[in-house]
Amino acid sequence: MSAIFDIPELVLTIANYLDPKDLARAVRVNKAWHRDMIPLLWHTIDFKDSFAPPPAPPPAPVFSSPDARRALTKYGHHIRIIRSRSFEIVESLMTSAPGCTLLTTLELLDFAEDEFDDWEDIDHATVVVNVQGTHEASPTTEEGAAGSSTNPEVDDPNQDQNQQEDMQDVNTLVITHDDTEVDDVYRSSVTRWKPDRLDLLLTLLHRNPGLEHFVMYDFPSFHESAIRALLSERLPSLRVLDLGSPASGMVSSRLFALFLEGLSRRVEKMSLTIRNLAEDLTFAPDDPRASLQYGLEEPTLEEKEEEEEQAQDNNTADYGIRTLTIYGDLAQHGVTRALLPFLRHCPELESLTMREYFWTSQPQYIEALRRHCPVLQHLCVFLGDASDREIAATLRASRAGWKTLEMSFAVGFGGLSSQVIVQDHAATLTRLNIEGCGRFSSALLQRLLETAPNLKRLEAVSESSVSHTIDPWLEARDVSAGVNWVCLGLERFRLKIRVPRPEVVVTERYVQTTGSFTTGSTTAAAGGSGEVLDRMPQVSQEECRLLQQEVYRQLGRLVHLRQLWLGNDSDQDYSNAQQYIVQIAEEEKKKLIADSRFQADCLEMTRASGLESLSGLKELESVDISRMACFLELQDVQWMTQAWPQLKTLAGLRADEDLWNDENERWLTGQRPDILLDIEFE
Amino acid sequence: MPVTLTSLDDVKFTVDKDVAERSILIKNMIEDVGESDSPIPLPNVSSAVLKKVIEYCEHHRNDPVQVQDETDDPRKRSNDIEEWDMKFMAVDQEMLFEIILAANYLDIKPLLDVGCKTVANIIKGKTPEEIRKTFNIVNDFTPEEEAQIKKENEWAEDR
Repeated sequence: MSAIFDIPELVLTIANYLDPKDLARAVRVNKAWHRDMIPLLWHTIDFKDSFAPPPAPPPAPVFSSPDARRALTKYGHHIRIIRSRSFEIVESLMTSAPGCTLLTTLELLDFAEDEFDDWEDIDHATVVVNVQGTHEASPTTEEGAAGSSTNPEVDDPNQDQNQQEDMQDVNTLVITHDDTEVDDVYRSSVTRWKPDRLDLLLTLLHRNPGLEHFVMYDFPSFHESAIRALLSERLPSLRVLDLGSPASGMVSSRLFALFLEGLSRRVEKMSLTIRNLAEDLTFAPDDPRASLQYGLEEPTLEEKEEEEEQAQDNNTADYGIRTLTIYGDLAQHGVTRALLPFLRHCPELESLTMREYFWTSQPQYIEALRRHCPVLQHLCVFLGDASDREIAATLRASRAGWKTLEMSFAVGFGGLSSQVIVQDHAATLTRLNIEGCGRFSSALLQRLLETAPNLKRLEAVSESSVSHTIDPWLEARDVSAGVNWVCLGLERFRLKIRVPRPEVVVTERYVQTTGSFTTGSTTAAAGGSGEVLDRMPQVSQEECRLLQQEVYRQLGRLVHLRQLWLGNDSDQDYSNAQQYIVQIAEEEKKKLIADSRFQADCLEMTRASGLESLSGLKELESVDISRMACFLELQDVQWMTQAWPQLKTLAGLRADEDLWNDENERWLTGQRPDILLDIEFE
Repeated sequence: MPVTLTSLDDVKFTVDKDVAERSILIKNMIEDVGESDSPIPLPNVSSAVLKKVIEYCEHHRNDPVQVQDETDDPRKRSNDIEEWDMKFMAVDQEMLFEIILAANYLDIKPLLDVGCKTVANIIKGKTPEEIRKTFNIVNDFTPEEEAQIKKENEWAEDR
């Protein structure tokens, strides 16, 4: 009867489909199952997700009972993969599992609850944002984007450049390090890493030379011995190294250089943080923090010559890095000196992520990437205070053409950089994220849609609460004046579309460009005087209908669309960023549109306005019309749920509680109970 | 060209070559012997089971060849059985095991996988005693041994 259980391979194949909980029961069935399944049960020890949400007590310490310790000794040699949020597991392994020497994966995401907070804090708190500007900045921003369809300056690069220069003067972000914060986190990290704890970690790494995958967000990279433990001679098989928390993993530039020099050429994916502490912090000579100040001084003449030689030197073997993530200030001399020669030997680099990349004239990086990394096609970068011209220069780093560009909240982003994207990279782009890059003009967005055949994702609606930036948008007039879109494989479309509507009259609007940048401190306010800055162009009913139809027609051709996000789903109150004060014909709509959180000049999304042109979007899963001043009837919603069979989420519906009745409710939940309707009651 | 297969109980089945060749064993046999009219004997498979196996191969005749995924984690998901396969596998336990043995012998990897997933799904959520009862397995542990093993592997169980 149970013949299949007599064949160990079959038992193993079945056991492969069991999770640890079921395996732990199955090994108790009989001796044969125990023999066959124990290696599998112990192959992977994964406590990564075992985080009980508060107020539940923290998980009991694992492997602490005598039985568990004995089991570790007995079965430790089976362990290949460990994922844990607690360092305790390392302590248990070192005391009880001398046989654990064949690890291939070790992930230690060691965060106590409060450390988590630290991490959250420092991610932003080390960055202090100063917005300097006057409210003249606002209409310039507005004009640059909104008026561009009729504006000749887009076609005249010189004039455009001049305008961009002007913008820089009036609206500049200055981002600086707050060294005291870094110092605090550093201090707590040093306190945590007592010598015995460090010894445990280093011994474990030493015993497992076959390690391929090492992730640790609290890695004591300020210790030279810890850095040395990661090098090629100790971990020759390492492929993935992720020390990616901005709060820890503070490698001084001296150790960084040492690290890069000895790094295994097999490493394909790497993530780490470089931090130097400022010169004006004083430490005792024996304080390890002093080492983090290395490389801040200007290079001597000899060092410069040495670097020249290094640049010529091609004897170093190439690295195998494909994906690289670096946090920290890369502009400092000590970092440049280590990182540049490294990049010159990364011929396989495909994807680069940089946080806190302080450009301040670092054209060497761009040159190095362009010359030595021929397959670099993916870039995710926090551009900080980079100017439009610097961003445009950065875009030169890819010779093959960018496939991915994620440059959300690039404040300096403007006409030059957006033109480079559209002119030079439209052919290759598959994913573009320009959330918060409000100066990507509507005309150029339209041009991009007309010329980027491979575009799969266009993301330009921000979800996070960065309120000093505005998202770009597309003018219906530009769509109507343009030609057909070619990006027919588009799967995600997250972009606001502006349609002038006759019933909406903007008498007053102002854009305020400042606000708190997350938890950072803010100085210098701008805008908000309330004077009339913009009048919405007047349109006739007929014109409005034609404009909407043209937009629907283009959207309707995107038959692979899965996400259509035209609204604004952030929780943010937009009254700070953009304010409409409108006069409107119908009394009941007045209240809504006067609410500054709503976009008044949007598509109506009703069948009467031409929505039926979207009936071909059979793959549509998610539609978001949040904060759009649309007035849908039940029949419009019914049409949507019938036309789009894959629809799972319809966000942003609003209903008048008095008019909403059981029949509506029954219909919606009865017809398509699978659809998540996000209804806000007035 | 059709291929004739003979079962353990000497029943002959004639099927298209591409259907028969879902079985790597048969595919290799045909390649070794060359084109031939003589039936292929399958002395390990009864006609009842072979009929089921052929039904599966006919339904999946156009499936692309499976690519081995190379993740170092051997654990896989068992909740991704497609609907037709799920219905196909809704048979009594004896037949289920026979199909798995036949798939193993005939070397039909996708059928073997879906069979093993089905068995795994039966095991899931059951206590050791329930598992033994379900599959008619004799417990050869003493109660002390079983208690000991439970303690050793508690880390995996109470999570």
